[in-house]
Amino acid sequence: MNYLEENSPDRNPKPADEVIEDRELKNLLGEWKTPDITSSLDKRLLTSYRRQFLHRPLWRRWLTGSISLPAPVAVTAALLLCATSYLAARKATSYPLGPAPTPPAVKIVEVPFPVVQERIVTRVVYKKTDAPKAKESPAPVSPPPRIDLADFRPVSEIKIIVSHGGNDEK
Amino acid sequence: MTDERLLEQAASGDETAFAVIYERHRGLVFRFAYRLSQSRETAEEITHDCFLSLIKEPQRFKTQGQRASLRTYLCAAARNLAFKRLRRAGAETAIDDFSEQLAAAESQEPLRLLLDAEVSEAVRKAINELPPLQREALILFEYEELSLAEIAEVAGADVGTVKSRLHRARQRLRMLLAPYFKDGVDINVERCRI
Repeated sequence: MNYLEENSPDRNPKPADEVIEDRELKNLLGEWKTPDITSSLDKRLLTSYRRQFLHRPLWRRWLTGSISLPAPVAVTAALLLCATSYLAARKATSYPLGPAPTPPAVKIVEVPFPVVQERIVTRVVYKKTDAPKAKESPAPVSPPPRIDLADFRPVSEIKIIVSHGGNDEK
Repeated sequence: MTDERLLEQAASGDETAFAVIYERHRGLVFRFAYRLSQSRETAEEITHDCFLSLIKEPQRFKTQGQRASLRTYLCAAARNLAFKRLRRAGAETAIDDFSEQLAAAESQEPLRLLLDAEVSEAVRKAINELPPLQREALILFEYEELSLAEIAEVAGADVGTVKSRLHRARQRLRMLLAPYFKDGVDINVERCRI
């Protein structure tokens, strides 16, 4: 019954119709073994398979091609993608949900205006100070001029003119 | 993963998918081809061509896939390739059933001469004596354990025809291998319902 073991993966239930089982014949038939498949067939077939796809146009290979990934790599990539998406989504929701304020539009309008020429006036203002500050260092004081009445003469006629503050109409 | 899905991937260039399909069915195809052709080289060529044609024209299986499994499709492909080679080798007349009495009479003598030879060699030769259609039915039923319906699909015949071929093949083998049975030529059959 070795050949039954050999075929065990392919074992298939027989249909429900009546079949005749000849066990003795079956046992005898099982004595005839088949040789193993040589590895050269496997290699030849794989080579033929690859050649089959090498001759395909590039665009077709691009459209119908697929890649195989080891399961751990695929799982890691999927986890990384999920984590990145989650972080990106979280970052996006931390901002206010309302519409973002639009920056004010800058409008440049040229307005002509007269340029006023600046005049620089230099004035010297003498200020009479009431009293010299005590704290300040005392300036050198010149002696007051002497008034002499020796040449003084009284006027012969006095003419009085009354003026009202410079108003000509009055 | 199903054969259909694997075939789709293999047909689009997935070498791994192709390897899985090949691993899954190569034994069946090779054994069937070997027992039909009785030649290792021929069986390997048939197996090679069988799988390559599956990849080249997967739509042929898809159109038949409504009713056939991949293994019956592959068996049918192997069968066609094997019979094509038999015809090319001039064995065309042997494909159809011929006079069993005449063939049995002719094969008695060689079998008697093989009494001292290995049993397996005797069985191989006895099976080789069968007409191809009977041989095919016997191999698929007894060795590959396909159901009658599946064999009918592979052979493109109805179940009754397959049953008849199987019955005749067994009768003939009983005669050809009579010296190896304990009870001589008496057919010891056991009726069973599966």
